[in-house]
Amino acid sequence: MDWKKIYPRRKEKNTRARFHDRTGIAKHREWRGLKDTWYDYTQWAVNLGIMAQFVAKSPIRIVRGMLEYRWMSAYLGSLHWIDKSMEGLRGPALRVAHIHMHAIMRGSTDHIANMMKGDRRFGPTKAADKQVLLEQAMSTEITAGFPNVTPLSMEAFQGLLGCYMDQNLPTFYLDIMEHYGLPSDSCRLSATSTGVAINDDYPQNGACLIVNNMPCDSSTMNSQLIERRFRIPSMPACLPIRWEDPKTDAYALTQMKAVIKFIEENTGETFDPEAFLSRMEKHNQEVRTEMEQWEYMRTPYTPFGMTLVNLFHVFFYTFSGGKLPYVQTAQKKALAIAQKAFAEKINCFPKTRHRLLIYGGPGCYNFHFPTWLYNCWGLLTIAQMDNMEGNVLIDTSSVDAALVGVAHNYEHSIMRRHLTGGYQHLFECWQDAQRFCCDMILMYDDITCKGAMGLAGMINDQCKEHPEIHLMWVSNDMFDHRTISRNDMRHQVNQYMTAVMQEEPLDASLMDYDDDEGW
Amino acid sequence: MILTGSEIDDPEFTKLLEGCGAFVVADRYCYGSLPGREEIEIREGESPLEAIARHYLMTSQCPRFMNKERAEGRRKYLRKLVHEYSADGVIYDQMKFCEFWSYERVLGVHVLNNEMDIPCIGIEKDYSMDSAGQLRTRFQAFVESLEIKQIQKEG
Repeated sequence: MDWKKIYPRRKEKNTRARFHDRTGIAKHREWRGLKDTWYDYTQWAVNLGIMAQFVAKSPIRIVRGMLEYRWMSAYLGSLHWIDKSMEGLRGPALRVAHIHMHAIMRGSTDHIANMMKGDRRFGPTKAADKQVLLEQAMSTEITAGFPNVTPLSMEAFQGLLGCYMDQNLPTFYLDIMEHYGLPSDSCRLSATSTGVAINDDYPQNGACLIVNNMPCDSSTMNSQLIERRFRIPSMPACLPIRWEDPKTDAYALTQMKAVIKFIEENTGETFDPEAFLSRMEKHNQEVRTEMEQWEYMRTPYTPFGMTLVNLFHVFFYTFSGGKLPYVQTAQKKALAIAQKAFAEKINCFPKTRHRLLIYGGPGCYNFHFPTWLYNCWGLLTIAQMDNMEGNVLIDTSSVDAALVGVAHNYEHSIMRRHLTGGYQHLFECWQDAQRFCCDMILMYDDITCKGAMGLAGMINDQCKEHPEIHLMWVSNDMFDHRTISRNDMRHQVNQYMTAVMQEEPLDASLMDYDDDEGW
Repeated sequence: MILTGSEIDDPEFTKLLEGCGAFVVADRYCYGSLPGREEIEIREGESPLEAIARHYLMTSQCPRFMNKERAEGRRKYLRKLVHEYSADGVIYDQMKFCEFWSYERVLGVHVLNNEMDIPCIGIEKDYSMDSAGQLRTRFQAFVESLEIKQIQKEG
């Protein structure tokens, strides 16, 4: 279908003409006016500096890692990925996005550098003996009482973030798992993480490994395969699933103490209660600033929107928890911009037609989908499901109370609180849409998530009780773009917006294009 | 042959396997004959309800019990059954869409074949017997491979 004939271009620019067909490589940088283009370019260049600092941390090991691990090559696309995250942004929104991006880049590169420094594959290293690996969705708070211990994410950089950078990365690992005998209808995220293990592509880090009992069946199961490849002591942190029942607190506390004892036994470090409580105060500061940010997100003058506001939240939930001082700095800088935009009544996203809340298991290979939604249809993503992850204020009156708080924070992680784990999921999407003044929910339909699939009918049913909120379903295959491509996802939105909403696109050149060969 | 895996309620499945030349000596399904039919011990001071809860938690062989000891224990239990029942092989069955048994099957087949030296195959099937033709071919091939191994051993 030739969308340009149906919706002839009017005042807007032919945005897609800036890119090479199929690959999505830009021919030139986006023109945002002199001031914003200059700002964008200089801030983009800051990321080059962050990457140079990263390589300088352990040049030989990092180069060896680049040659050893397939997943590390995906990060060569990061500068391209940064540009895609900024498409269409202007003024305060552009500034907030760059502030968030710098913190994400700094934290991610530090994390990968620590992985390489502690990788026993490249020779003996003492760094590994003080590293503790944490399974995805476990944030670092539990290691806060061990100032000399470095927490590392077991799988985020090989799976989720790698897929954000390069849609072709996980397909390699998925194929490995299918050759190994795993059905192709299994969760793509868990299958990718396991494929990395089967291909022996995890760095040999850590004194010990802590997995957890995610309410996701495949996440629970894949740990058994992954653990075998790490060859270090491991334990599952079994957290209560019915976390709203206060009777589960005693059990949660027992588990948290068991994890601490396990870390002590394997690292030789002793738990420091003062350091732990001090970190929890910092965790609380991050949460309070986030809550203040939400107040601005409710207004029409929000500079927080599209993709990075969500990723920044996931980043500090997973990797900081009060640990990284530059997270608080970035939060405060972004908040200052929001306060100014609000005071001056600046509409930071002038193309907005609808305010959107995104829920459900995302197509991670289409990380920039919210960018496209805004630029093509004026659908501004205010928040995503991951924004609701964690956000628990921890009681620091005693160590035990704080440990229960840490358990609660884990219990509010993604999937535990939503999707398969959360009995609040169905209610929360409507509440969150109202909280952020959204008139539309985009519900991802991850075709391999059986838990979410079971909820689809109930969500549709509940939709009838909320006539003021539009509900749009978009299918995806989470990590596998070969099943439902990015363009297939866009097509579903096009159909909804034309047939149901009866609207015209802001830029018809963005409606239908092939970027399947791109990162 | 010992069968293990997701719930199977259809006796036609066992008949199909036995029609291919195998003899099923034990089954270890979700609700199979093993390790079922065990006494539930009520300890002193414990209510029957607590005893049932403890029994479920301590004796269940469901793959959702994820810690390493329990996972390895399930495979050791199968090895024990193979010896007790003088079985020649094991068939892991996974009901379609059951994530627990999908990973358990993948790993179990690998461990039994390569680390425990017990001939083993894994199958994925619907709850119903829709794919009987394909299963028959696989079972026949498996039985044949066991027979060849037996002949080679005797030779």
